[in-house]
Amino acid sequence: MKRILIVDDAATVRLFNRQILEAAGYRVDEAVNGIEALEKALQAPYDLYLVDVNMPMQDGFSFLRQLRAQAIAQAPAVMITTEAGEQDRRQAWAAGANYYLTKPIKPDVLLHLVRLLTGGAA
Amino acid sequence: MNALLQQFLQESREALESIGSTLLAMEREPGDHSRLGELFRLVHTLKGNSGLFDFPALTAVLHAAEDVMDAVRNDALGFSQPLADQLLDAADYVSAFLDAVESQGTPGADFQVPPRKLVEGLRSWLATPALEGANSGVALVSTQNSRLPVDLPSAVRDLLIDAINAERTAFLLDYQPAADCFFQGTDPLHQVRQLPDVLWRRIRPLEAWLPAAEIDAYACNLRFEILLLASEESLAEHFRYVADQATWWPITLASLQSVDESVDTASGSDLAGFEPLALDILSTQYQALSACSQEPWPSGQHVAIVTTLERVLASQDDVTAMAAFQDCREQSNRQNDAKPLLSWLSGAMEKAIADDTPSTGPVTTPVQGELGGRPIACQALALGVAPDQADTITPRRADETASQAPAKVLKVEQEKIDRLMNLIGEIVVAKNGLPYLAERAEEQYGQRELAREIKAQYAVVNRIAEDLQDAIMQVRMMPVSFILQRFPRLVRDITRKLDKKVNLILEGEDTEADKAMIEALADPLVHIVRNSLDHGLEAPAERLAAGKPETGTLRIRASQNADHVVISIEDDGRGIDPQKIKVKVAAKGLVEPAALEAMSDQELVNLVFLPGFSTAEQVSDLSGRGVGMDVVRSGIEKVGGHLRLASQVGQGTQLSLSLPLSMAVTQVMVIESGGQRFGIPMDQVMETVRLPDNAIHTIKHQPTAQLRGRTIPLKGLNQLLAVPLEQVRNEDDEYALMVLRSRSELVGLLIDDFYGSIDIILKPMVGILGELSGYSGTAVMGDGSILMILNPTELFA
Amino acid sequence: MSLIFKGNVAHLVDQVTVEDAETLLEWLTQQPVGKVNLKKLEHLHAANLQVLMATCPKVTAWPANPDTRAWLDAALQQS
Repeated sequence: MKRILIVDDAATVRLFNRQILEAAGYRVDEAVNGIEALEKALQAPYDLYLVDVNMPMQDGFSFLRQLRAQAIAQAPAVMITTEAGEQDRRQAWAAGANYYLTKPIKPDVLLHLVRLLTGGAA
Repeated sequence: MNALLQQFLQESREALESIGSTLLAMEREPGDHSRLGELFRLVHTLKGNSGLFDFPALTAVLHAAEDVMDAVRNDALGFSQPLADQLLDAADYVSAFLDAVESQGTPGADFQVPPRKLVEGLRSWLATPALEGANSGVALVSTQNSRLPVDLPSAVRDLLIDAINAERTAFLLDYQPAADCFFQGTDPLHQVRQLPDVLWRRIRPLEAWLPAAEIDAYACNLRFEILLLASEESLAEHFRYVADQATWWPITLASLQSVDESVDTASGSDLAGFEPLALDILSTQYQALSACSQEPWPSGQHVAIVTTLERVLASQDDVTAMAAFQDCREQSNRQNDAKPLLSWLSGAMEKAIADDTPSTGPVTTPVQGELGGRPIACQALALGVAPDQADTITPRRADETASQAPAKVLKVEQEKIDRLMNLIGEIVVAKNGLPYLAERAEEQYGQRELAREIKAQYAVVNRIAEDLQDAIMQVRMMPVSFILQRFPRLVRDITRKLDKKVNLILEGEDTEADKAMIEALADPLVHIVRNSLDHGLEAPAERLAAGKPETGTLRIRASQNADHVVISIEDDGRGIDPQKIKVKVAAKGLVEPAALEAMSDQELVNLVFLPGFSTAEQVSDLSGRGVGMDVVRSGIEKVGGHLRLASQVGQGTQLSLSLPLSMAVTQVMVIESGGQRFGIPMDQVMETVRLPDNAIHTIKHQPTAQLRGRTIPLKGLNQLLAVPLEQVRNEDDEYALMVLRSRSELVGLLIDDFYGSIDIILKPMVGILGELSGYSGTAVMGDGSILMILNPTELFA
Repeated sequence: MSLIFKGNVAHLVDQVTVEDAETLLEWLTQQPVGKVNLKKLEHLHAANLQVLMATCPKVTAWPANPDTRAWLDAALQQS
């Protein structure tokens, strides 16, 4: 079963994404900030990371940088935010993101993307 | 209501509370910018969440608020009181919206359409700075590369180059007319058709089109992108009435160059037949790889990109592409350099674009609408992020972020806690049955040993039950800040309405009490504070005349005192004048004139608690809401609290509310009267004495007794309850007397006998019984019988 | 008359005003195979343009006026 980590401080967003992904057969874990996410990733790497940019304590960029710098995870990471500016995207690539989704996320797009990035079915 | 909506409501309310308090804090300290980031994040999260539901009105308001906060955060807009007002209005709207959703499950008719005035009010803050930004040019130069359409026909590019070489100025214009522009008489198409020297144009929907049946023809959903030769001044002139809807960027030869460069390296396999989303992911990897191409191969990010590429290629079943990719990956691995992979990606993508693009006209990719209007696919190549740009991003140090994770918090529904609470209540009651059992074992069956064992067992169960009780109390405890945090806003709004100046000081917000207590406190507190602002604190002129500082002080202090939480509300206003009270009470005929004359000042002040009393000359729209202090007091007393009022004329008023920390478990003394058992709350019992018959003296038809030098009026419980029986005396002809405190007066209650004190879970009486005065509720005893709990204050009234 | 319906073809002629947008939308919603003829169109209000963009009817003839054509192309001639 493919494992996905949702990193977002907004509990509503986590629940929303979790419901979609679990219904499609993925196993989903949640983290409310970068620190918690890093701890979880250290315990057992995930197949995919969905990371919100804007979080307290440790934002999505810092989390990704650490994830990549320490080579903890080789799996793709999708940055999720409401900004779609070129600047924001560049920052995401520099931090180690592999894709960039803007909110609000549509369930079909999310599932499609997750399927491609995890290399096939759940 | 589904779990997602519930989660949304809960999270939104929390965010709203924080937004409210942060805004007020910023108003107090306008120079303090540290809160801006947090404020933006809160609004941002709210907006993001609202987007998950079909709440267009809510999203519109939050979106506008977010844009405003973004501008403030980026110093494009100063924070000011009017702006705070506007944001607070928006917060009120959101709050009302949530209420509607919570009660009906949907926003309802009132919240279908975005509140135009509110949204425009918010947006109006942005209009001017946006124009400045567009005209300054300087700030925008850095982003010009990214703005240039990648799919310009080469003929247009040639024209552009010629024009720029001929020293004409070229601009890329992005015009996004307001949704309601048709109603303002604007025809955006006419507007753009008047533009001179248009070289290229593209018209797209701002947001994906709805199905035909749902389209509103008169809600403009268009975005115009236009390349033209014009002067900046003429553009500003052309769009002067819609300055906030149009933005433009100058185009330079350099920006054209970067488009050119990225198109020249073409090699490798083509990716024809790939899904658009897969193509976009690939092009994204190009951008990502460019951003980290300088890092030593293979860095963590390189590996992640390779993994991503592998997975996406695998999902597309293209053997040729996969083979080409693997070749290049091997090359990169051998050379320890990202370049081979980078050039393969670049080449493959270039061909894919060419295959996908009709030879004439601009193109949009089919998936675009799905991805929230973000232009995706293929921009990577043309925009080619230079590697050095990746380094310009401000590095964030790890120590910027707090190093410890927050305490884990589990959110539990109130109902579940209440159920736990009831269960624990039952244990407490059940365990009270053990002493009865021990008694019976000993007395009925002569099993003294067994009785002792049962008692020992009882002690154990009792300790666990107490611990359990304590634990659940802790869960139910919450800080009084829960209700205090609404006061800054309330005080601010009221003082502004009354033209008064008041400095609110909150102290002891961390003091904790049972949730039910806190909730019971909320309304009385609001009323008291309103009263204080309205009647207590004077207008600035009056204060100055009285030699006081212009700004009044209102202090709300919470503290814990043994098993009570005490909230005191003090103001330095005009105080309560006992003589005025006397006049008023006399005029209203609320108290006998003779009794009034005999009253001390303190007693006179306490008359404000009389039903139907109001001290103000006129009832204002603020405190005169038909709720008097009598209601406040009975509200507090209902949950076992006390209220004390003190006042000095000209100096101020102090009110203190004292509430039990928890109302879950009450200690009562069990008594007997008229053959029935009752409970009396222990906190009202001052002492119990045996009173000889001859110690009772009747003064003016009122039986009294002298106790420690005080004369105490006596009442028989049977008489109070209309039971036609004499109180029973013991062998020594003594009455059982219980001295109770009722609203700071001592009253003697004659009963038949006392028993010990026990802990009970007080259940309020419901239905017809609930209207019986004199009782505060019932409790189930260990032997299964029902104990009626008396409310002496009501009994004596 | 700027908006003329002949069978399943709507002819947009000369100036099509903002008031016509509702009619056009209604007609196109009810005629799933409705087509539009833009031959003699000089200008259409943006509300009409977005109706065409949203409903994507088949265009039987493009405007003769080159400028009008260029703007309509920019809105409608996409993949």
